[in-house]
Amino acid sequence: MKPFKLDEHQIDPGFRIPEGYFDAFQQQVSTKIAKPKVIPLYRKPWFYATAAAVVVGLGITYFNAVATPTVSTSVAIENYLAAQPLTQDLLVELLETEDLDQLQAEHQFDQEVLEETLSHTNIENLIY
Amino acid sequence: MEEKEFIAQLLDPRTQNQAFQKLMAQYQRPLYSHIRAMVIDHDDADDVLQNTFVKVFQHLKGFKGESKLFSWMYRIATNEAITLLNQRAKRGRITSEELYNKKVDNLKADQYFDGNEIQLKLQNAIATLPDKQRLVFNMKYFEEIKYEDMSEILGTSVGALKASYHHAVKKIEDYMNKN
Repeated sequence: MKPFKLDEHQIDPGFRIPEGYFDAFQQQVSTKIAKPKVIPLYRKPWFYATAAAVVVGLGITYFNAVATPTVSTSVAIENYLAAQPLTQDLLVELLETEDLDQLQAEHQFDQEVLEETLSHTNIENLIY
Repeated sequence: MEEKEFIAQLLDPRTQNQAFQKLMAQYQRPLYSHIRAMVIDHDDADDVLQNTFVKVFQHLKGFKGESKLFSWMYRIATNEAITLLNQRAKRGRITSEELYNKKVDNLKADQYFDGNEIQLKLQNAIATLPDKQRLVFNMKYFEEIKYEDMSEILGTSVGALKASYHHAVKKIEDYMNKN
């Protein structure tokens, strides 16, 4: 059998086109072109800028509402402090070691004054 | 009419519609054949051809005339067909090669394919080619596009295109003789 050679044949691909296809084709394309292209909101260039502005705006509003003490908050804090006895333990707890050292340095007691004071103080009154 | 003059008509809003209808009338059949050979079935070819003309229309303003209008349109059509094949393959979670083979396997049952045994065998032989060789073979053998034009469309040297076609012909002849 003679070997197959492409240049000895011109073979058609065998594809068929539906009848009247090209008659309607131009109209279909014209309709597609005339239709305004719908761009999704997220593809519009100003979308991200607007979204960012809204987020920043809401963030600032929220931060201000949370971080700025209102008059009523300040009054509440004052009332709370007034009601709580300021004990030594609380002071020690609140003050850092550095603060205590600083206090000690600022209020150096004179040894003689201290002894004088203690000699006139009834120690028993202090013990309870 | 010179191509420059025709492009000017396509860009002028007063003559644009009429010129574009003329462009479609002139190129719809050759571009359809080009696309159909790439995507095999009619429905996909129809989608790609419509998208091609819509893109041509949308990008006319950017066409600088550095290449021929003909090769620019073929380039758009080729890219659109490749994009569609890749999308279909991705959706089916298969390679584009597997997709192409599947499409050729379905040809026998395709109502818009009326090829005989030899034509079907030739399509099966073409399916064995790598993508680029298949494209070059279709453009040369079925569409009879000159190598120089093909070079402008595909951005490949004439020498490389000739080599691709030569390899493709050899593989197809081997397939046709063995099967």
